[in-house]
Amino acid sequence: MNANLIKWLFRPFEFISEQKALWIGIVSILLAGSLNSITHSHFDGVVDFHGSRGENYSLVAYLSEGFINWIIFGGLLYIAGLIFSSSSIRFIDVMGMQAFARWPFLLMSIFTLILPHAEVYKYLDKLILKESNEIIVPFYQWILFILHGLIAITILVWTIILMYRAYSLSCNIKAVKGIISFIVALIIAEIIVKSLLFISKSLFAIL
Amino acid sequence: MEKKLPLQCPSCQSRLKVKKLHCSSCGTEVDGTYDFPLLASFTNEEQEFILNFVKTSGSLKEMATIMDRSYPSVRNYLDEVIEKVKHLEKSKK
Repeated sequence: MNANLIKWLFRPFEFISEQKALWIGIVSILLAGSLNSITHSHFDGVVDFHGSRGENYSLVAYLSEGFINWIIFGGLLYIAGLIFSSSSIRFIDVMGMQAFARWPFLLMSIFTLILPHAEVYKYLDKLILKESNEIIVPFYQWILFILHGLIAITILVWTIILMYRAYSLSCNIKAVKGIISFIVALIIAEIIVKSLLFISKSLFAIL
Repeated sequence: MEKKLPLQCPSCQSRLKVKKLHCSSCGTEVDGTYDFPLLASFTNEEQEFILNFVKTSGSLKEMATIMDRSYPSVRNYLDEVIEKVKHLEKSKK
């Protein structure tokens, strides 16, 4: 693989300005949220994505998910940076780079649109809840579901790598200290985000 | 052809010292044992960084433009240089 391409795929933060990173990140979050409103998919966690389960929320709810995820996780990483970094870190660097690190999630939303498999989720939900299952899933949707799953895992791993690299560079924290503080911030962020998304969906569902 | 000033012994990797200085104008030679100045202990890349830092009056933003790197990258590089300065000062005492 071309060295330049690898650099831009996995270490873009060394070269992109914080403002450019911020704006690209915000636009990708907005676009992903907009696409999710069409497919009724959700970024219901910092590194969580779920396909449609038949619910229907307002556009604001879908857009707010990405921003809540970004702001909460970015904020926690900034706090971790203030505690653990010996460098003078800037809020704009941390938030801008975390926004940019989320751009592959836009690909997730695009693939969900072009690989529709909503019937699979409905079928699996009925199966898990042990309800009577009259849903007939076309075979092609099973194939799309598996394909989408493989793509989603790849994008998820790639995005987490980007998020860690963004944190490591913007806060100048590396090695064990960096990894542990990143994981702790991620767990705390997931708890906070899940709670906030539950509240926001309840609020915006009625709008 | 630009020659690189060696800082480490090619045999045992110890730090080299200056033994002889020569004046190319009058031919005078000075023989003694002198330590390298601190700044000479940095790599060419690091010295260029330090010079650019002074020339930009310490503006990391301008440095980022010169180096074509992001602001945090430049800041982290500066932190590494600062650590190296502290380490060199410590080892000289």
